[in-house]
Amino acid sequence: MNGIKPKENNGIYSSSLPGAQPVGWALFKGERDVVSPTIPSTAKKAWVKQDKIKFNLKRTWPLHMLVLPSLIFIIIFSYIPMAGIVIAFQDYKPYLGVFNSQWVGWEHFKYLFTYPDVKQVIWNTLLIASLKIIAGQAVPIIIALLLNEFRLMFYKRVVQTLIYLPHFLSWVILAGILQDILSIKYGLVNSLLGVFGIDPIYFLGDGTWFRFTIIVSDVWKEFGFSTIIYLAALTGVNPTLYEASAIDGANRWQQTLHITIPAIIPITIVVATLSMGNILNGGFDQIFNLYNPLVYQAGDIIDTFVYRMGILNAQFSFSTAVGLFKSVVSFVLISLTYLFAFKYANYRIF
Amino acid sequence: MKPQGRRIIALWIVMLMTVVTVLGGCSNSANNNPAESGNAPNTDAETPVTTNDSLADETTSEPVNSDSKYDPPVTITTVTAVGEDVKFKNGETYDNNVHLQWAKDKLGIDIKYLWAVKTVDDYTNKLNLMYASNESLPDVMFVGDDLVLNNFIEAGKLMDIKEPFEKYASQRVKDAYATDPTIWSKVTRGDKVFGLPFTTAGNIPGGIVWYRQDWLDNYDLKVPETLGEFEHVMDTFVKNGPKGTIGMTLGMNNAGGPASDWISTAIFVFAAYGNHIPNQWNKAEDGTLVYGSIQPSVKQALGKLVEWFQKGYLDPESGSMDEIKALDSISQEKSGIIAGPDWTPGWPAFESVPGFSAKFVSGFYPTGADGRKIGLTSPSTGPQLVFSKDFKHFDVFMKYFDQVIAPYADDSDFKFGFAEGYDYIMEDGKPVYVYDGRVDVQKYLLTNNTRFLPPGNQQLLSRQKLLEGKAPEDGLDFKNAARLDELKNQYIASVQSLTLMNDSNARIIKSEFAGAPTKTMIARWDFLKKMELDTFTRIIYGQLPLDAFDKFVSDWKANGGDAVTKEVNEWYQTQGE
Repeated sequence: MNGIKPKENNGIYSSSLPGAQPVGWALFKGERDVVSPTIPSTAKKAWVKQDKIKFNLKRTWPLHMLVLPSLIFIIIFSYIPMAGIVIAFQDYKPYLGVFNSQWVGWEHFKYLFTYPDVKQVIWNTLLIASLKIIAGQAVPIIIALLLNEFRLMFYKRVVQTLIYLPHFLSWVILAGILQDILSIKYGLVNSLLGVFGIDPIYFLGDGTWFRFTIIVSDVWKEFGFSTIIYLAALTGVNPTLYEASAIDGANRWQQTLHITIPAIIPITIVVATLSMGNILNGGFDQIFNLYNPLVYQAGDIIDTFVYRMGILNAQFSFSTAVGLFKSVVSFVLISLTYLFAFKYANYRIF
Repeated sequence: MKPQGRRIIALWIVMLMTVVTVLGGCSNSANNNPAESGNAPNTDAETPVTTNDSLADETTSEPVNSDSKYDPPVTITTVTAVGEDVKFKNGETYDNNVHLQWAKDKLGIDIKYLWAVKTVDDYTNKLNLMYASNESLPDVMFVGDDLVLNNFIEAGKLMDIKEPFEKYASQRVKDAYATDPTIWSKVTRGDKVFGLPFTTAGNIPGGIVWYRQDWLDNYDLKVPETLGEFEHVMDTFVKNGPKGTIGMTLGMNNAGGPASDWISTAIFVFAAYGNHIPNQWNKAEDGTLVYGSIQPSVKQALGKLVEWFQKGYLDPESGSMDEIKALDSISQEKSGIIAGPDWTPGWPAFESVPGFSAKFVSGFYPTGADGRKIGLTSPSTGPQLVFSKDFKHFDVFMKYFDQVIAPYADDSDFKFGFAEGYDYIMEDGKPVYVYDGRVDVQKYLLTNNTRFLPPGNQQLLSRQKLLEGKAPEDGLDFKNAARLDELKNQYIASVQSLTLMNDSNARIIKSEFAGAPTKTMIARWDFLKKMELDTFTRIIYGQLPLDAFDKFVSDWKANGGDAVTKEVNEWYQTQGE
C-alpha cells in the first residue's frame, strides 16, 4: 500500500474500499494524482502530468516533413486569402480588382441587419443549427455505446459501414428521395402512420415539421461519421476498469455511467467545441433542395437568403460580408466554449 | 533494412503521395472537354486565344476572291455548351465537323472553340468565372443569363455594335430585326447596343392547356372553352377517376409560384380574371407599368384557386413540388390536364415514354367572363450574342450570319438543310428528313440556330400551311412535313398562336419589363418576392384567409414596392413608344 487514505465514498470514488478510483468528474477536477494501489506503478505515468517533451528535430523531422505539405496548402489557400476579407467593406467588381473597387465601409452589414426578415432568418439558422449540433452529438454517442456492446465483430463492422454510407449521398439525391418517402398520399412514412390511425403529416410543407425533418434527415446522414470516432474512443478504455468495477458490484448501467461515458468526454468536448463553429451554418445544401414557399418562415436560413440575393446581382461583397459575420460569431463561440471547457472541466485541447 | 531506414522511406512515400494528390487537385480543370472531343486538341483556356492571328490585318479588307472567301482565313473564337442532345457522326466533334468545314471552305472563316462544357448551368458558371477572374473574352459568345450580361456590360468588355451593325449587316438581317424594335431592349444601354438579340418569339402570343384525349372521350367531353367548362371537366375527372386523381397538374415551388410562365402552371386562371399576371409588369389603364401580383384581379383568381384546392382539384403537395416534380402526376396518370407550351407532349416524356399510350389534345386558355380568347406574351428573352471589345472582324461575322440565318431560302446553301448526308439526304431529288443516322447540324452553328430571325413566326406559318393540307414548298416545309404525323397535336397547338394573332377580339396580355434589375430591385426584390410567394401559397392552402392578400399589397408597397414601380416606369419611359 502506498499509504493513501481513500476518501469517503461521496460519489467521487467507485467504492469506499482501498483501491478505489476517482471516477466521473473527479478525474477531471484535478484529482489526477490519486493512484490506485492495485495498478502497477508503471501505469502511474498515465495519471501524472507529463513533462514537456523536448523539441528534438533530429528524431522527429520525418513527422514534420509529413505535415509540411498540408501546412503549405493551408497557408496558401486559407491564411493568405484572409486578406480578401477587405472585399466585405468594398463594392467589389472583379474587373476593378481589390485595390480599385470602391470602399463602402459597413454598408453591407447595415443592409444585412436592416433586411426586414433578418431576425427570423438568423433565428431559424441558430435554432436549426443548435438542434443539429445537439442531436448530432447525442445520437452518435448513444449508437456508439450500443455498438460497443456487440459481441459479434463481423456484425459490428457491417453496421459501422452501413451507417457511414449515407454520408456520401448528395442532398440533391436525398431531397428527391425524401420528397417521395414523405409524400402525403403515397409516402412510406405517412402510410405507416396511417396504420396507426394517425392523419397524414405534410412534413415538407408545415413549418415545425419541416424543421424536424431537416434535423432528423441530417442526423441520419451524418451520424455514421461521429459514431466511428466515438467507437474508437471507446475501444481505448482500459478493460480492467470494467473488471474492477464489476468486482466492486457495479451493474452495467453504473459501469456505463461511471466508466464508459467519462472515457468519451474528452472527445465529446473536442467535437462539441469544433461544431460550435457551425452554429450559423444551417446546412445550405440540404435546405435549399428541400424548402418551398410554405416553409420560408420556418426554414429560410442565412445562406439561402444570401444565395437568392446573389441571383439578383453578383454580390461578391455582400456574401463576403455575411461570411465574415458568420466567421466572427463562430470564432467568438469557439473561444468561449474552449474557455469554459478549460476552466470547468480542466480540459485542454492544445 | 534497419527499422529507422524503413521508417524514413515509408514517411517519404506517404509525403510524396500527399503532394501528388494535392497537385492532382490543382490540375488544369479549365479544359472541360466533353467526351466527344477526344481527337481535337483544345486550346488551353488558361491562355485565352485572343484574335492575335487575325490582328495581322487591322481592318479586314473585302474578301479576296470572287466567291467572297476570306484569304487568309479569318479566325473567330467562341465558346459553347454542347448538350446531351447534340449528336455527331463520322467521328466529328463540336470543333471539327462538316459545318465548320463549310465555313472554312466557303467563306474562309476559321471558327475556333476555346472551350466547351456540357450543360447550360456549367456554361453560365464558366462565364461567371471569366467575369470574376477578369479574363479576356472570346470574340463571340452567347449569354443567356441577364445577370451575366449586365456584369459584362458594366465591366466594359463588350463591343458596342450599333454602328458596325448599320454598316455591315445584310439587308435580310436588317429587315428581320426591323420587324420588332423591342427586341433590342435587353442589350441597349442608353445609345449603345451591346449584343445581337435572338428571339424566342416571345412576342408571339400563346396560351395552351393540354388535356388527355382518352379521358375526354371517356366522359364524352369536348375541350373546354370557358373557365366554367374547364371546372366541369376537372370535376368529372376527379369524381369519376380512381382514388388519388386530381384535376390539373400544378407545381408551386418555383420562382413564379402558382403562376409559373413555363409548365405545370395556373397562370391561365389569373389571365381569365383580368389583364394582370403575377410576376409580370403589365400596362395599366393609365399607360404606366404596374406589378401584376398586387392587382385586385389577382385576388379573385387566388380565391378561385382556393376553391379548387378545397375541392381536391389540386395536388395537396403542389406547394412543395417544382414544375418538374409536378409532372409525376402525368406519368403516374393521376392528372389529365396540364398547362404548358406546344412541345409539352413530346417532352417531358409523355407520349414518348414506352408503355404510356395516352395522347394529349390542346386547347386555348379557358376564357373569363368576357368570353374573349386569351394570349400571353413575354419580352423576347432569347440569349444575346455578344462580341468582345477587341473583336476586329464584325464584318466577317455578319457575312457568316447572313448565310446561316436564313436557311431554306432559295439562294442559300442551306436550302434543304445544313449539310447533306447529315440532317437530310436526297432521295429521288427530294429531301428526306427522317432516316436513321440523322444528326441535327443546326446545333453545330456558331450561332446555334435553334431560333429564327425575328419575328419568329416562320415556323408557325409553315406548320399551318401543312395542316391545311398544302404541299411543302421550301426546306422548312419539308422538314416540318416529315414529322407531321408524329407531332400533329404539337403543330396544332403551336398554330393556335396564329389564330390569336389574327383574332381581333382576342385579349393579348403583354409582359412589358425587359430591363436590367433596378437599384431598389437589387436591394429589396428578394424580400418582396419571398413575401409574395409565402402569402400566395399559404392562401391557396387555406393557412391564410383570402383577405391576407390586402395586407400583402400594403406591405409590398411599403417595403420598396413603390420605389421599384417608379424605377420600372422610368425605364419604360426610356424605351419610347
